[in-house]
Amino acid sequence: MYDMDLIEHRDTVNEQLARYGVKFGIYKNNTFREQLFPFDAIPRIIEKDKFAYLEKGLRQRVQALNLFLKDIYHEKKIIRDKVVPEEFIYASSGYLAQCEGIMPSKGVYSHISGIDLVQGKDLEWYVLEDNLRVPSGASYPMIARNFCRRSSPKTFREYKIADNRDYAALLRKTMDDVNVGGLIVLLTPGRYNAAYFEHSYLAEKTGVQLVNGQELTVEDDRLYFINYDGRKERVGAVYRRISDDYLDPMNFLPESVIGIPHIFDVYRKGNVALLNAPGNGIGDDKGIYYFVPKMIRYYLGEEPILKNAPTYLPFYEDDRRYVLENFDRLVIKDVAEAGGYGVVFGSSLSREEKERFVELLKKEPRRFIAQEVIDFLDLDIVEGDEIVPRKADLRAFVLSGEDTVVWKSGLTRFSRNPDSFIVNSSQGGGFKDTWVLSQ
Amino acid sequence: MKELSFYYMLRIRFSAPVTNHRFTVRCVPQDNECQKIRKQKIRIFPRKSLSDSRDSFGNYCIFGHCSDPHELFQAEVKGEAVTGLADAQYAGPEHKAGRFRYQTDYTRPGEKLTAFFREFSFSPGSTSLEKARKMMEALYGRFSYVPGVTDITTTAEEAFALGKGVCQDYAHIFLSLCRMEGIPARYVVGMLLGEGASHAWVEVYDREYWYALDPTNPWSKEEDHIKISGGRDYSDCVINQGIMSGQARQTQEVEVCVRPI
Repeated sequence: MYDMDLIEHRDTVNEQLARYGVKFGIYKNNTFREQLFPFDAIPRIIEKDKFAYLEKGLRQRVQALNLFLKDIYHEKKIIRDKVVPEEFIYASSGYLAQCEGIMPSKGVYSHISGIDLVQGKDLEWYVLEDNLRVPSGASYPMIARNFCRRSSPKTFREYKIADNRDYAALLRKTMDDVNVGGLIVLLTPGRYNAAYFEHSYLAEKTGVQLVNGQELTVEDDRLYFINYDGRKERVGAVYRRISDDYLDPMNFLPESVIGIPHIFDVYRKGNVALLNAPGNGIGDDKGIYYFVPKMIRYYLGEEPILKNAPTYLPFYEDDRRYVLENFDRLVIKDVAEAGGYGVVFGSSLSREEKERFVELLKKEPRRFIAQEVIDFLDLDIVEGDEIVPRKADLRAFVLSGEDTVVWKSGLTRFSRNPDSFIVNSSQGGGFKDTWVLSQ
Repeated sequence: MKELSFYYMLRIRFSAPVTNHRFTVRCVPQDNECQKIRKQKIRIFPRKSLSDSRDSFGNYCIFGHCSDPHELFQAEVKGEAVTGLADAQYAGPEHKAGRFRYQTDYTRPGEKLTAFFREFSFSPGSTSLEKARKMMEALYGRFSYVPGVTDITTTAEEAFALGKGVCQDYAHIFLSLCRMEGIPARYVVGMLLGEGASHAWVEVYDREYWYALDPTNPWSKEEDHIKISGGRDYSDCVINQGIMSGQARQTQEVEVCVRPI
């Protein structure tokens, strides 16, 4: 049932990945460790028509999210019309008042969106999370595909698989679309960042300059790249892989040493494009997630194609009652936390912990969302000589420049621990290639 | 209506030369419905590579960059202001003022401020402005003006627990109270007639308008104030921000003079 040729090459592919430095940095107990991102050779396979449905739903969702971000930082109609309660915006750390009134190039906020989905045992896809700030992960299936094709060319002759190595071209087109004139650079915080491999790989594949903050400078309301010989070249677009907080010490955290002073003021004047736009955190806030289907109806006048996981907001009284009555079956998420932290399974708490948690929930209802635990469809992985099922999700990448397009692949992450539902790579999971069939 | 002449000067001396100095200054008053500025002169030193813009709160900012070594930084603004031209500034519909309704790190109340807030009750039908005035007057009775006991990092809760502080503390505590009551309110930096330093007060949202209230001087006249900038709290209105290279101590002087013409 599986393509044995490919599976037999698993170790070869992993060795290649290690040789290329495909690593994931992890901070745990205050120490930085780099570890390999284990690759499993059994791909996730999505049929052509199934993917066409996902594609439609993902485009719709990202289009609505982009309209939402534009609205929040300008007209605020969705607040006026009481579709989203004001406090979910302004009391959220994702909302950045500094971004009020700024119109990014072409009106696009989320250029690279990573939408995390899971497939239930009912075969239905559910969106678990939107990532609109600096979603990472596209480079892993890109490079893994490359090695798989080399080590097992036969497989790729037999199956008709959409080539996912076009991600670089799609990304480059997105950057070109919003470039306001000048060089395009990829701004990395440096090699101690968890995703440094990805930064260097994407810069190489898209043909843009990989830079750190020291190599960029602001002069006369414009951004410049300082060349190796001291010459300055105007920069028109920055694919920045550093978070809003660290982007500009004059406008955000003053202690940031990896940012560029006054880059945000250049952006405000429309003299540089930033991918993704600052302030996007309000769009992928866990509290705002609940409202995404409402946003789709509000901005696009369409029914949402993709489902959210069934979600309750303790902020609303009815939902709060439901959450308290069904606490043991639900998963509760703290809206302020990310990366698989701050996730609590109701059933895992002791009686005392539960009492304390319920108190907190009653006191600060806006801080939490509660979701039904989705019965994931497990995916098979190879563990030693065995094939075993594991929880897995899919991060789909949606690129928005002049158009919104969905990459015909994605990052499938799985949990290595058979009992864990949490698949984040920052928690030590592995990944698979995602095949979208072209016939 | 009143005609005032004003002078604002900020001077920073570095004990040793600094280089690669980047700065943003917000010290230039602008026209609004309540005040008109005329004959304004701005001088910045070092004056290299300057540009300007407005931040997302509408505050006028001057940006600069000086890579050459220098031991002095100075920003000077002088001019005349016609004040008291209107009672309030137009704010627009309430959904646009919402960002000023939520507590910030400076204004988030703790136990003491929350308890103080619970002492208030308002007669039905009170407007936001009436409620705010009532809270402001009560705060004035509870809090003493004592310089030197708080600093720029002191939060509303910390200052209230101390029971004393300066205009920044009055403003943060007052903002906290207004926001607990659900009234959008913003922090204002400016100059006050007869004061030798910059001043801070508050603008309160009521039915599409911003009204200035000065909790440090509850009975002062609005027309004695010249507004420079506004935001959610002190951090949005910082007069001077700078980043530079070098090992130097800084000493800062501020001179403010507002006089009737």
